[in-house]
Parts: sequence; C-alpha cells; structure tokens
Amino acid sequence: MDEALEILHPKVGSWFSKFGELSPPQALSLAPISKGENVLISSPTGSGKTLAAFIYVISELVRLAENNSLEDRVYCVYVSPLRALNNDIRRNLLRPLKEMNEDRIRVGVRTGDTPQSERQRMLRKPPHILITTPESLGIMLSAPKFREKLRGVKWVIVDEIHELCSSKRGVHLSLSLERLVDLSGEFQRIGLSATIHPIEEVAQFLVGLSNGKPRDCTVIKVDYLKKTDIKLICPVEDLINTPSDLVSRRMYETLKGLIEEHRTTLVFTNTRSGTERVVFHLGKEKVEDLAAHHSSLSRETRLEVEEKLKNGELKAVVCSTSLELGIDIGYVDLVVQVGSPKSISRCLQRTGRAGHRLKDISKGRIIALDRDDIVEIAVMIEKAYDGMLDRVQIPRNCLDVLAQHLVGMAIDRVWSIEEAYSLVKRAYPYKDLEKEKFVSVLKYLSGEYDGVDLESNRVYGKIWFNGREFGRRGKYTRVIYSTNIGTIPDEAEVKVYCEGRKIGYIEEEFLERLMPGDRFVLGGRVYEFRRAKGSKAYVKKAYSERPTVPSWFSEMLPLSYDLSLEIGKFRERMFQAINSREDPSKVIEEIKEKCRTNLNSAKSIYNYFLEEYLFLNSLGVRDWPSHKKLLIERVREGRKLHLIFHALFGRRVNDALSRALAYLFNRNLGRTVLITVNDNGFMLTVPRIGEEKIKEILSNLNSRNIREVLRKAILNTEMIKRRFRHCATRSLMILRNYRGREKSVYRQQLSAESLLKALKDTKGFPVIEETIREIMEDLMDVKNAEEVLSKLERGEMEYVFSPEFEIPSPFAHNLYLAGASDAILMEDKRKVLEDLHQMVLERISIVEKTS
Amino acid sequence: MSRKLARGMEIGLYSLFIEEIGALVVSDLHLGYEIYLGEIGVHVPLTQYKKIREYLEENIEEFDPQMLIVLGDLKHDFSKASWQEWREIKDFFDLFSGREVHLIRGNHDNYLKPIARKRGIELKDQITIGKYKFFHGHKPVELGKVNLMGHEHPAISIRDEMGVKWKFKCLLYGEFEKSDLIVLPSMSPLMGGTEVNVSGREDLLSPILRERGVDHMRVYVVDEEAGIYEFPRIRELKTELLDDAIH
Repeated sequence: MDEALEILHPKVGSWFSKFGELSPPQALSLAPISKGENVLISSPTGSGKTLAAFIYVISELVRLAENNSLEDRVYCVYVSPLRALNNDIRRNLLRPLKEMNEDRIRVGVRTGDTPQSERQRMLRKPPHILITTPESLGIMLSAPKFREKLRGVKWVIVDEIHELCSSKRGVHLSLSLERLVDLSGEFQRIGLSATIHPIEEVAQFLVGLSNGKPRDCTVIKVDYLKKTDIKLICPVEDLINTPSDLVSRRMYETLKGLIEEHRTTLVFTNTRSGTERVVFHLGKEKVEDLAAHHSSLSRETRLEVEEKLKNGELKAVVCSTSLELGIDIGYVDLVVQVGSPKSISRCLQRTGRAGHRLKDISKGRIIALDRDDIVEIAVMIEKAYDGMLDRVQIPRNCLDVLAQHLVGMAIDRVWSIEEAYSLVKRAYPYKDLEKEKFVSVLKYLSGEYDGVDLESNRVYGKIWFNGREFGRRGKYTRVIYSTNIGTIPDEAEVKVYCEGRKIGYIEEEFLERLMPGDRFVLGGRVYEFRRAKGSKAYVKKAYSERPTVPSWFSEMLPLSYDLSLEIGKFRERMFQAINSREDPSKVIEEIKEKCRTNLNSAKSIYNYFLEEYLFLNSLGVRDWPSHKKLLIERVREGRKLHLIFHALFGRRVNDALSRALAYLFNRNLGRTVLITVNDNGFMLTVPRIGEEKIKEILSNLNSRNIREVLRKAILNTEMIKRRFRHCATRSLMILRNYRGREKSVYRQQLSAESLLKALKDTKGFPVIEETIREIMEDLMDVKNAEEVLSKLERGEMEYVFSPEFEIPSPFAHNLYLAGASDAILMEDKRKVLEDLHQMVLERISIVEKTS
Repeated sequence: MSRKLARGMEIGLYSLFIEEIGALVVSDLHLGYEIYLGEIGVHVPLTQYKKIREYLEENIEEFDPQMLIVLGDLKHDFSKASWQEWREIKDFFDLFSGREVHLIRGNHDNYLKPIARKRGIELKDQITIGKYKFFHGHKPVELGKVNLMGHEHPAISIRDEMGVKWKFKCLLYGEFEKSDLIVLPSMSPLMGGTEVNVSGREDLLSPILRERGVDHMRVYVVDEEAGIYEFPRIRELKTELLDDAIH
C-alpha cells in the first residue's frame, strides 16, 4: 500500500489502494489536509483532485462512525458553481462508500431544485456531506432551522474556484464562508482549481483573513501540463482576400471533415448564437448525431445531451461555454474551437476536455475566422506553449453582493456595526472596504436614502439601522432574501424573428432604443428593425451593410491585456522583418513553426502585415502600430471624422480609454461621440477637426485623472442602463420575486432609464456607486488603462498620426465595419433639442423639394 | 418657461394655461408611483414628488392661476392608505389652497374620492367651462369646441446624426371635426410616454386618438432642461420619412 494511504482509516485506505497509485494531486495533498491545513489544489481536469479533497474527509467520517460518535449534523460542505455537477459528485461519493460497505455516512444535495419533501427529510436526518451551490449556501445560512445543522462544520470544499473567483458569484461565496465561520467556528478550507494565475491570490481568496492577516494556506500546484497538441487551422488559402461567405462555407466543410475523422468531437463557439449557427450549418452539411448545448436550452435538453455524450452516442456536440467546466463528458478525442478563445487559460481548459485520462494527449484545433482572429490565435498558441497564463481578476468591494448578505445577516440576529464590518472584512474581496461605503449600504437597506423623513422609511426598509446596530425589519424580509438571492443577472431577453425564423435575442434595454428602420448587428449580420410586440421583435435583412444603431448590447469575451501586449510585440517583430526585407518564405516558415499553424495560416498572417505595411507606406507613414507606437488613423466620411486608435490592449482597457476620451471630445466639441471598440483598438466618431485639436484633447487625459473622467463618461453612456438594472436587482432594489408576482412585471412599468435619471443625483447612493464600480473595474479595466497612460507619459509608448484619408487601413477594417458599440451623449439637453429641431427642419425641406 | 400655443393659451412646464378662464391645466401626475412600485417589488426612494412640486411652483409663479384643472391620474394605483402615503396628495392640495381646484377622474384615481371630498372637491368624468371641455381621454367622449385631455403621455423620438435616439415629452395640438384637441404631456418624471411618431395608430392608448389618428397634430416638445420647442406635424416626424431624406 502507498505510504501516504496510512494516514487514512484502514477501511478507506485499502479501498483506495485497489486503484494502484495515487494521482499526483492526491499524493501531495493528503498530508497537509490530514494536518488540518487549508489547502488549494491546482491541477488539470481529470487528475483526480475532487477525490483528493474528499478522501481524508471520508476517512475521518468512517473513523467517527466506527467510534459511534457520528452525529446528525453537517460535517463537510462541498460548494460548486455547477448545479449540473452536483449529482455527479454525489454518485462519485456514494460508489466508494458502497464499495466500502459504509452506509452510515449520508451524502445529500441541496440546491434550488431540491424539492420541499427532500428538504424536510434533510432537516430530520442531515447529510454528513452536503453538496450545494454558492446561492443555496447563502440561503441556508439564514434558514431558521437548517442553519442549526451547520454549526460545527469541519471542512468546506470549494470546487471550480478558478471559475468562481473572477465573478460576483465568487464574491458572494466569500461572504457566505465568513458568515459560516460566525455560525460554526473556524473550519478547514480545501479549494480545487484548474490551472490559474496568480495562484497565491486565489489561495487568499479561498481562505480570507483573520485578525487582518491572511489565514494560512498550502498551495499544491501540480504543474505538469496535460500533454496537448494544439494547432491553428485556416479554412481557406488566403483569408485576407476571400469573401466572408466563402470563408464560412469552407469553415463548415473543414469542421465536417474534422468531425468525420474523429470518434467524438466537442466544438466550442464563444456565443450561444454562434452555437446555433454552427449546428444549423453542420446539419445542412448532413452531419449526423449532432447536438447543441448552451445555457439557454432547457435543463432537460442539456441533461439529455450530456447523457448521450457520456454514453458515446454523439458524433459531435457544439457548445458555447457551457461544457468548459468539469461535467464528466466521457470520451472526446478532439476539441475544435471556432474563432479565438480569447484567453490562454480558456484555450487550455477547453482543449483539456479532449483525451479522457490524464495520460492521453489532448488534441485541439482552432479555426480562424478572420484576419485579426488569425493573428490573435497564432500568438496565443505560441504563448501557451511558452507557459504564459492570463491573470485572473477578483472583483473588489461589490456593494450589491454586500447588500444581499447584510439582509441575510440581519435576518439571523441583531448586529453591531463593528461586529458586522469586521466579519465582512475577513472576506478577501472586502479586505479593503471603506467603512463609509459599508455604512452607506446599511443606510440604503434601512431606507434612509428615501429621504423625506424617518417615518417614510418604514415602508421599504428591509432592515432597521439606528447608527450603531442593525437587524431585520418586517415579515417579508426573510422571503425577499430567500427568493431573490443570487448574482447572475436575469437577462431581459427579447426574441428576434426574421422571416418567421428565430434568429437570436436582444436585450430589452436595447429594444427600448430601437425605432423602425434602424439597422443593427445581430450574430454578425445586419438587420433592419420593423416592429416589436410583447417580447418579440421582428426584423428583416438589411439592404445596407452599415448598421445605424450602436450595438451596445453585445458583450463579447474580451482578450486579456497581457496577451494583447504580446500581439503588439508580435506586430513589431513582423513589421521589422518586412521593413528590413527579410526573405518572406523564411518569415512564413518561422510563423508556421512557432505558432503551430498550417501553411495557409502563416501565409495569410504574412500577407495581412504586408498589406498594412504597404498601405501605411503609401500614406507616407514610416511607423507601424505595435506595443510601442499607438497609431491614430484619421478617416473622413462626409461631415464626420473617424479616429481609429490601434490600441493593442484588449477590449477591457480599450473600453475604458475610449469612453474617457470620447467624453473629453464630447465636452470639447459639444457633440455626441460614437464609440466602436474591439480587442485591437477603438474608433471615435467625431465632427471633422484638425490634428492640433485632436492633440489638445488627447493631452487632457492622463493616468491621474482617468478614473474621474471615466466616472462622468459612464453616467452619459447607453451601456450604464443595462448594468444598472443588474446591480439594482442584485442590491434587492428591484425584486425578481415578490409576493408571488411575475418576474418581469416591473419591466412593463418602468424603464431603467427613468429610474436611473431619478436616482443619479442622490449622492453616494450605493446602487449607482456599485454600477459605476462594476463598469469601471470588472467590465472595463481601468487599472491597466492607467498603466497605458503612464507608459505614454513616460515615453515608453507614443502616439503616431496618419494623414487624413478616405479609406481605413487593412488593420482598421474590422473596427470600421463593426458599427458603433456605445455613445457618449451630450449633457446639454437644450443644445440637443436645438440641433434636432434644426435637423428636422432641414430634412423636411429636402422632402418638400424632392416631392 | 412658457410659449404661446394659440390665442389665449400658453404652454408652460408640462402644463397649459388658459388666460380667458385663468386656468392652469396639468395631467397625469401619478403621485405615489413609487409606492405602487414598492408593491410590485421595486423599492426606490421617493424622488418624484420633489420634482413635481418644483414644476407646480414654477407654473404658479409664472401664471398665478385662479383655478387648477387636473386632467386625471393625479395619483397612481396603490392600495395602502396610511397617512404617510397620502402626504404628497395633501401637500399638493395645500399648494393650491385659496385657488379653485377641479379634478377629472382618470383610470388610476382609485381611493381619491374621500380625500378630495374632505377638501370640498368633487371628482368628475368631464367638465365644461365656456368653450373648453376637459376629460381624461381613456374613454370615448363627444368632443366640444376646444378639448383638453391627458392619458396618452405623448412623446416623440428622434435620432440624431450620430444615430443616438432622443426621446422628449410633448404636447399635441390638432383639429378634429371642427373642434380643437389638445393632449397634455404627463407631469410625472418617472413616466416615459407613447412615442407618437413611432407607434402605429393601433398602439395609441386613448380610444379618442386611436379613432381619429394623430398624424396631422402639431408637436410641442416640453422639457424641463431643454425648454419648449415647436416641431412640425407628427406625420412629418415619422422616422421613415426622415431617414429617406438623408439617403
């Protein structure tokens, strides 16, 4: 028997030794776990880390059972973000217990789907190991009877922590864990993660702080990569000059070929509409045993697909992101990604789904769809094999999540501010929370912002708060809490129909802005809006390629800042090679080798750079866009000027820079400024102005004032409305479920816009503050935007201007054709109305003249 | 803020003043809307009345009216009738104490009757003073010579040259069957309104407007920040027409 197994109860140890040797994460974690240390295990999917976490727990429970001291309470809480995973985990635990002949240890699942009868049974006979989700744990902590069963929890296992820690769900969980400490006393924490960076910070997120210092945590990093074979495929010989419909036809043929050559193929697209499109076309290509899997399919459909996949009954499954995480999917021998996965971690995580066992080679193919895509994927693959990882970002000081927990805490008992504040600060995402912010949330929840006077608060306050202590108010608070908790926004979706066929969804806030005749982009195509009825919108195919309305609803996966900088360096290398007249065939060979591409791809990449180089040269520009030069292209169109910034910083940084600059242009010129953003740059559309004016406005933004400017900018964007609705719902200001009313009732009554307008002036109102914070820090990346600006200030990077011209350069085509994604609106309504009035009168005179 | 509409009539801030009878006409205030929202699970601070009171004060100062006529929906539906919730309505009456007040019944004015009666005000479906006829507009009515109604919450939407859609509340003025019809905007800052230049005829709320159509009515945008602007008739503000002009 493996020496490490001697730590375990013999019954468990001998069961385990039947499987031969322990996997590396199991062997390395057993000792620290048995010593009671907090442990974070980071290793690839399929390396047996779930069992690594449970094995000692089971052993201890067996020991207690043998001593007849196993009590009727919860000893171990297992939390996973995937509800779908929970039943798998339960099965995987019941099997060894059964094989050990151990029927005294109970394993139970408690989630939103658990029926009332089952919950009652759990109350009488609580499971020793409780499997749950972050949301259900939050609810249990305030459930009057069941919470008693959580006193004395010894272990908490957090699975898929790499997925949780970068979202508000994870932030929510971090507070639940501290509330559990309050209820149950300190417990041992075991975190399970796929490869993630920086691991030390994720460890701190897992364990939190005690007395202002991080709790100890042992990090076990099984750092060998599952062997991977990732290659870039270009579906056509020349991606640059092939029309896009031919590219997509070839793409489906390539995909079909790959599927036929393999037993089971998993195809990832980045969006749900992408999934639907791929399934539709593969179906037309007569690919059989094919299924789609994404989050808006019904639960039954998804389970059925998962089951069939596990049983090897499917040839291919196409999914968006839903099968990235740990659901057991059985034997898959190829993973294909359509388009760039946008981050190295995601690329590896997805590819790791191929090859069932640890020793198998994971085979992954990435198909490039356009010219920016191909460069991005090439650099990504090169860097992945260099061992680079994207940094994860943990959201901080989220006031909406805090509001939910403060209501939950108030339900449990009366708290003094100090006591509650120090509990909250034990959670890693809140370790630096300012007291003033904390108190503002209490004030908001108690209804103090309702103004007028204290008496008017009585109606809506969910808690009472006297400046020193707070507690529950009203009989509905408990129901409100347990039916409205959660952080995943409830999307107000409107189905879009074209010629009788459903083609996708748009957000309700977006529909609010649409007028008949407007053209907008949906799933990569331009449609013209006709009319809306209820939650359905009717469109027709647009006659023109150019959209007329900013499509600010589409939030695509962003490319990480770190990887974008690498693309900047790659650009520099390529342009240098071209500029110094290196032998093209050598350069192409180098790309092919380093970026693991086929010949088509390498050629396409080379030609793309060559075209850009020649274009700039013809304009007399002797520089090229790279990580050192921020090229600003100026393209004129009628009375408008498009300023195209070749900013290689990824969408999140570009989102921040573009909004801040647009605001300054708007203030200076007194005009609405349109913004188009992608991972490789951004475009501002402004009235025609000269280079000096542009330079003057650019110089007004710096690393010290960007936060302040951005804050003002965000308040004048289209995008804030949707985010505001999410934050208002999370903060329990808008209740999804209330006194049995339908979820969507309020939407028919009130637009986010008028609500926002009414609340904008309430100083320090936490729901607005959180909306702005979320946009600046989570959606955008203001921190790295500051970094970019300081590079410009230090001279490590500089602006380069191209002369005004009618045509955008090849590198700018994607941005130029994308259609604006947001607008900074004019603040001076008097001027807006004056301009509109003028415009209407002009147009009417044109109509009259022509008729 | 005011602007002449027709002889003897001036548009004020979300209001209309009729000189001849010294009447300030307002509509669709929806007081207590936040309380109604609270009842359906949207818990927002009380912000609306503060604004409405400002509008009313500005109107009183501007016109010093002898009488006030509310074209219905003074309050929104809410069922709880505690002192606190009626406070805004009481304050509203206090603001006009010493002046004649006429209340038209709207489709949201439940529970209003008793409190109005305490102030000696009757709730009526319609009233006629001289050539002017006042009603809410949610039910068909035989038109008088000059008719004033609310209910529709009219607004127009126009896209600027950058493609951004702007929405403004407006007052509508038109002639039907030899009678004039004026539709007042809602005074509530929380109410959006029907986009009359975008909606089809069947989407209009008022049966009176639905029956007759609004295309030839004139549009007067009223906005607390932007002021009052006369725009052309609705049919000239139809988006397709405007778009065709650019293409």
